[in-house]
Amino acid sequence: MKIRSLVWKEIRQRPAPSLAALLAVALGVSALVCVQSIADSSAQQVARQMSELGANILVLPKSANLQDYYAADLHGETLPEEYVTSIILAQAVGVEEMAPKLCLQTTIQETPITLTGILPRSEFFKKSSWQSVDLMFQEMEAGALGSQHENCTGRTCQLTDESMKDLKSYSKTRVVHDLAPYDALIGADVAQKLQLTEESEFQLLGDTFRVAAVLPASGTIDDQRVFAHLHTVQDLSEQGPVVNVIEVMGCCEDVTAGLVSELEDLLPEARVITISQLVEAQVGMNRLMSRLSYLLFAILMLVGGASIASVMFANVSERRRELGTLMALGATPRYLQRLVLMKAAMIGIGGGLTGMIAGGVLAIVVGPSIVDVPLSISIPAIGWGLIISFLIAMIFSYLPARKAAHLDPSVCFQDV
Amino acid sequence: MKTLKCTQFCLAMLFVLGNAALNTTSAFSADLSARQVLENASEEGKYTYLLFYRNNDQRTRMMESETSQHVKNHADRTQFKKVHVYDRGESDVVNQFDAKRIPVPAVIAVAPNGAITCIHNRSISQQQLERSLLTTKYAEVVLALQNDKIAVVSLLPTDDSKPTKAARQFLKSDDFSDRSVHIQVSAEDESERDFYARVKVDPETEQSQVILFAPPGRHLGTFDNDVTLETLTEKVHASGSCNCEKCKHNHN
Repeated sequence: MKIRSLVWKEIRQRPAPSLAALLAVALGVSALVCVQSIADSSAQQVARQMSELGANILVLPKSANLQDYYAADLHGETLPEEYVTSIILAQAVGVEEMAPKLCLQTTIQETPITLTGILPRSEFFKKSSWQSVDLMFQEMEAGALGSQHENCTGRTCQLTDESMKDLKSYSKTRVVHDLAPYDALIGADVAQKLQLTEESEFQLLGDTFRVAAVLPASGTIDDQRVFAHLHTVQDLSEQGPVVNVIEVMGCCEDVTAGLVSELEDLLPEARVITISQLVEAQVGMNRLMSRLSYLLFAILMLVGGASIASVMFANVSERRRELGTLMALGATPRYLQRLVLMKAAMIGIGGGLTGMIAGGVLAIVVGPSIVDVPLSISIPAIGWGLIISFLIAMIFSYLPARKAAHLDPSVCFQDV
Repeated sequence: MKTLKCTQFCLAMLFVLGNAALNTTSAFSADLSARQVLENASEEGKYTYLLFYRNNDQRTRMMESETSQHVKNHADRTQFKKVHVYDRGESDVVNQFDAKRIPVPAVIAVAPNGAITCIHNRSISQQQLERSLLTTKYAEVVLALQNDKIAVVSLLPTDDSKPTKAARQFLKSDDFSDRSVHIQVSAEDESERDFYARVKVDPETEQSQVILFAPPGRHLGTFDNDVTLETLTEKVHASGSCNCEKCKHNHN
């Protein structure tokens, strides 16, 4: 009989202790795979957001509590819209675009949605152009504007990229060139739920809106929003000329620090934070999750290892007579050692594979509701989980295997 | 004889005082609505200074004082009107200038042609106010920029001179014909000397020159008579100011 067949037979005859040890290992591996997958996906999402959002700055009410960039306007606190004009009139170098927002929770056809007021670029341009004479004076006196930074346009909203005129580009650029008072941009999820298509009309708070564009899915909370002109949303909300947040797009990272202090001086009643500061908390959380998953993995693997050791010791003791018989039939101590180690290895590998599948499924099912990002399974975590579960099984079954190898057949038969 | 002279002097004094009073009423038209002041100023070729405010606080009073001083100094060219942003009677002007959404107190200067020649909030200086008074042609340039057009300014040595060939070609080109406005300024026009000074061009220059301005107030360059169309178009595309595909390519 081959050694593998012996091990299988042994496991099948006494499945409960082997299963308990396997589950302990599986638990450790599944915890590692699940938490690492969530932490990795969250870190990737943060990195993607960072690269997409660039040198962004948020101007918020002092009292606003903020955890997520994409939900920066959902805190319910407001600040005056005149702050937007203040930033334009201050001619702060490095401010390329601005996106003030006001949110209103409402329903369309009894489906709850977030109506978000956005200000088209043409509105900024109008106010910026009121300073034409001063800008021309500065150009003639002090040389080109924005010359402090290469590729910086230097002043708010001077250039209109053709792509900004495509309303669908809003999901990427977060800027629209122009938007009629009762035109709306519909998030992908809302459009799907309400079956809204371009040029269709819908009723919202007693007014008729036209779907100007259906935005492509972004995988963010924006998919559940309806965007309309800020001033229309202000009228509907009856809150007056206020906004929840002003997003300021800086031309490059170099200007961000200087711009933040300039905006803080300009708007002492507001809270000015950079996107880097905002994601710092999220990065810290990811790091903590990652470290905790290793700690959890280590503890559970120790428990699993102890469980394997206990199962194997008990197994060697219980099978003393069978092992003695094998030795009497000519089995070498090395053969018995291999027998025990192989059983432990099968428990370790089985636990690792079970943990990998369970952890992966758990991450895919539960992950999105925890971190609100599409999940991908962490391959390094799977690799480490499988290797370490195998090694733990080997290390913790070494002593029972050694004990089996040193059994004396004559002593074994004394029990018979 | 002495009595007659005295009477004549008194009448003359009355006339001067009456005129001054009329001028003062005209410059600080408290009874007229802001809309009427703007319309009158446009007809009379005057600048209107609108002071938008919410509270009559120290800042408002300081801005009012500075602006009033400026308006007094240029009583023949300017008018002043203080507008409360929540005054229902002034709502059309408040809406026109979006005054509920600008930081107040704020002073906005409006040229007779409708161009806004300055906006300053919280504080203002005489120097800034002086800068807002423009020549007729300069105001045309500013209006073009505020209408999102490229201003092609031809500086001509005489009234009969022709604009540069490149400027004429530029204005006829497919890329720019509907995106630009042509403003011709003659060096013989004494009233435009201030414009020459501001754009730093010697009015005694014997050949035509062209200046390009792009919205909202970018100076793309001052070019001599021998400039080519290629140079002008290159400057505009490099600045991204005409919003065309070539601009996009260059800007990226």
